[in-house]
Amino acid sequence: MLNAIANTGVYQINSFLSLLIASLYFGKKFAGCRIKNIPVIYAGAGVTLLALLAIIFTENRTIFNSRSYSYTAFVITAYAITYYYNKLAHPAIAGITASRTFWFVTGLFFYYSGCFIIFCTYKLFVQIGKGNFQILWSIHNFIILVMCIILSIGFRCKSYQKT
Amino acid sequence: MQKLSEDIVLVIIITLFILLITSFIVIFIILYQKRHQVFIKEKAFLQHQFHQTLLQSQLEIQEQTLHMISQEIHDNIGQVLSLVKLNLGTMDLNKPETLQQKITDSKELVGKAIHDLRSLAKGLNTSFITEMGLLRSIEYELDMVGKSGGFSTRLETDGEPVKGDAKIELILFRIVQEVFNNIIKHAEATEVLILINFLPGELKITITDNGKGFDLSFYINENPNFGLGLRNMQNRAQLVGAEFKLTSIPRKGTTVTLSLPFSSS
Repeated sequence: MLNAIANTGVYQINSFLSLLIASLYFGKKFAGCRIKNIPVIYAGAGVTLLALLAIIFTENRTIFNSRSYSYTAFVITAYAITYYYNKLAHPAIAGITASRTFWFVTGLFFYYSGCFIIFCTYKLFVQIGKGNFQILWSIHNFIILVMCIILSIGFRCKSYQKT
Repeated sequence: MQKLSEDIVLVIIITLFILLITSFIVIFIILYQKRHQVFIKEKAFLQHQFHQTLLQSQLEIQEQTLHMISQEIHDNIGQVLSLVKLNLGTMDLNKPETLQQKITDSKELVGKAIHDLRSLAKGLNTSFITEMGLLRSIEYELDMVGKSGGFSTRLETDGEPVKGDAKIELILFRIVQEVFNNIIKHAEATEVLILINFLPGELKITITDNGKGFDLSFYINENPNFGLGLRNMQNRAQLVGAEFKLTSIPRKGTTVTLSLPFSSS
């Protein structure tokens, strides 16, 4: 029982830290951009962090619940789409596929958007007693593998690219 | 069996979803490359336009300078030398009393012509202006204006004088020179005041005269040459990133203001 609570707690901390770090990362990227509503975005990020904390504190600590994960995935996917929109609106970089930030964002986007469905449906499968959630985690691991490949491409790109 | 088919359906759904995400990323890359090409073309066009405008402004400045030189030589130096020639032509060796006066007058006129030529040369000499700096150049020019036109002139400075980029100072000086020329020729003023503010990171030059003033919009519409002179000053100001403002009230005088970001070179 204690192990279940400790593990669940770690998963919830993981989801919160993932959202916090992603918010800081994307906040730094958006700071140099000409998106009009930057203060709104920062305010929104603050609200989402507080909402995530609220979700975490209302979850059952003895059973793993992926609600916080699905919320984090949704927000990070929104950050990534905003990044793509900004790049399309201001296409100043020559050869975006040589940009380190592009690959990092694409990796995060691929993982969190791909796993969003998994995070959303995990609790449902557990409740209806389906055994399919085991294959879900296999697919999740595959998506992590692809994300790592994409991030490794990003690490090979030169860091002085203005992104 | 049912479990296997459910697993297969689940895998297919998630695979399709992953393919959808991958398609999104690929479409983004393709769209981005296309927009980047358009962006590069627009940037090249704007750069070309800017260089054209810059070149045109430089040519206009050159034309104006040459025009000013020819006017100065014709109006001042040419007139003086004509008078000297007239004096020499009417000298009568048989009348020593008038002869001495004519020689004295001719010497004075030649001296004035030499002085005017030197002033003109100094005013056009770029290295002379660069060595003196903007403040001293304006001071010198204002002094010349005071002596030549019978004006009462005053120069006031505020803040710690800073020596900026030589090219920017030269262009600012030429604008101030042009303003002085206009005051001498058109303003019918008796007083000229220059205020130079050296603010942190900014320079502001204000030239005010108590001349007859004019209706700015009337002169721009009716006199194309006037509009051309004003446009030339504005173009020069734009070259150095300065804001050029001219305000005038009939019978109350004219004020010209130049303000720009300015720091030590």
